[in-house]
Amino acid sequence: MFNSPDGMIFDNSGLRWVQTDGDYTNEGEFEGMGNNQMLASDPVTGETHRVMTGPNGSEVTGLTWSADRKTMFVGIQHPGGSYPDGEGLPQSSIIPVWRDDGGLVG
Amino acid sequence: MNDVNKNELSPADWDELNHPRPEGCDFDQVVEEAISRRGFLSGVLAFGSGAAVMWTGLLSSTTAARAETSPRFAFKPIPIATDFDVHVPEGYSSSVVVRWDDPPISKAAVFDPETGHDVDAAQYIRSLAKALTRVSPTSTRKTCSTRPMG
Repeated sequence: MFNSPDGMIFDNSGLRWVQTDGDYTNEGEFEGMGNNQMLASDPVTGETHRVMTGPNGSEVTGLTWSADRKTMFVGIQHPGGSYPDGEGLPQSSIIPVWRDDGGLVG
Repeated sequence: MNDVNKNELSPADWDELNHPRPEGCDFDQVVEEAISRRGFLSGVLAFGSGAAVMWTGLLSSTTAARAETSPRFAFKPIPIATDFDVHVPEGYSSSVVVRWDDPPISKAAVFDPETGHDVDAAQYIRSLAKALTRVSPTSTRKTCSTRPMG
């Protein structure tokens, strides 16, 4: 699950958010790991869960929150395919992620 | 200490001289708490021999997606993905707010996603610097705005 952690930040509640930059072939010793991702974990209990996956070919880079903590901004670097438009060359992007109910995300 | 010529110090050495780092740091403290008896070991004691199985399960991506989550986490974990999209938990949404090629000013040349060629680098830097100056919070210009220039 921890395929090459590359970024880490703690939110105000103490949760640890980790972004990965590992092998995304999902083959061999990386089978079952899939694309790069963002994980959230409780540093005290070690409980860790996958909260976001990036496009194949990309690394997930960096995370920050809006001042009201209702939106997180995540970096998607060097994606493959035709992300994000589905056609043409892929483009690195900054993406906001939010809860549909307007709740806090970190 | 008085013999040190501060004019010849590197920024890092100057900082170390004037603001020496503490022996420990916040990160060390967090790691220590994470592996402390109160944290990690209490989990082992609580779950007994099943803890090892559970930990292995957490390391398995497919199992992790199904694992029960504590109220600490305000989302339902998602499984791995292998496609060319972004995936977020149920009840969450995402979009793209800025991407490589977005012109800093409205009349700047743009990246061509068909050819991979983009705006002249020097022009891009000049345009970006100009745009950033305009929106800089330190700017004293009363017209400071995020409205595209040009």
